[in-house]
Amino acid sequence: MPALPGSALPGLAFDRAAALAGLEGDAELLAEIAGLFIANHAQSLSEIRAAIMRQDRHGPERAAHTLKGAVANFAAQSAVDAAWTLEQMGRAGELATSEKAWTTLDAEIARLIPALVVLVEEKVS
Amino acid sequence: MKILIAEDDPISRRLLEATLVKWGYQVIVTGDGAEAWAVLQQDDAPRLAILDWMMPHLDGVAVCRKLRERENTAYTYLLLLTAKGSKADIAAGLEAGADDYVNKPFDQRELRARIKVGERLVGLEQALAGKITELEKALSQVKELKGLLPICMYCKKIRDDNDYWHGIETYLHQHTGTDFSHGICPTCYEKWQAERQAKKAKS
Repeated sequence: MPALPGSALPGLAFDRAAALAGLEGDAELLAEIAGLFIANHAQSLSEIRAAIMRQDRHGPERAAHTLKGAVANFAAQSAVDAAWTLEQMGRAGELATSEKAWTTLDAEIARLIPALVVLVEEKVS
Repeated sequence: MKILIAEDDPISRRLLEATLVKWGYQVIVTGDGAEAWAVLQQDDAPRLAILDWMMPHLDGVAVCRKLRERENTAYTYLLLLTAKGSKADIAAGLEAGADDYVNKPFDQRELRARIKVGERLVGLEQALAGKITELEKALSQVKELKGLLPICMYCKKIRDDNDYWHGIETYLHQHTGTDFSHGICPTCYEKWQAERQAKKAKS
């Protein structure tokens, strides 16, 4: 039987069981905030990207911090780690070496979104 | 109880709101520190606020600082919600005036327990404020008796601020709430006995 997307296995986009446990099992609320993230993630990413592009020394710090907080609700550890790395780089003003960190974050979010879409669609159907 | 939440991330904001409503709280939702500050300055502002640390316009720490600079206002319990990990950051938040903090993503049971602490503290402060008001009222009445009281040296009536003479019992009752049980002191009793004897002797 195939594993559900987001189950507690290494390498998956998010830990569904942990995310549900954090919400005391409220699957509807999890689906609702997943929908919110799907709708809003592009703006968060573009804020970070724009700050890096304009060499805004501490710009990525706040946006990455906010994104980190959002993805942590889904127990999406890889995405949390990627956002944390970029947040720290933003805080330290290390924009010169942030391209790799940005690519990693972008990839992790790209991995997370389809998994969240599946979650939302399961709830709707 | 009313609780203010200030959170710029729509996901965390919705999560907080849904959780607090589920627990029976009335929730005032704001999206940044400036909005939160405006709400906290109103007369019927919530007495407990959950503030995200990093927010646009005014961050959570700045809101804490501004609130604690206000004088003569009811106490507001401030919980900082933070994904910041360092002890230095947390200490800075508490030093700015936050009462407690919760890490993101928050554990529901922990958040609820910390809110309950806040409720207890707000309740204690309200009770204390009520007692202080009662004491100040009582003190203002006691002060009236500490000054010079114009008293008749014959009948012992006391003159009030409106030039009316009152029996001493009436005056004290009005100003202190004291009630009296009437008796007779040994000196007056001897005097009364002597007068009674003298009357008997005459008749």
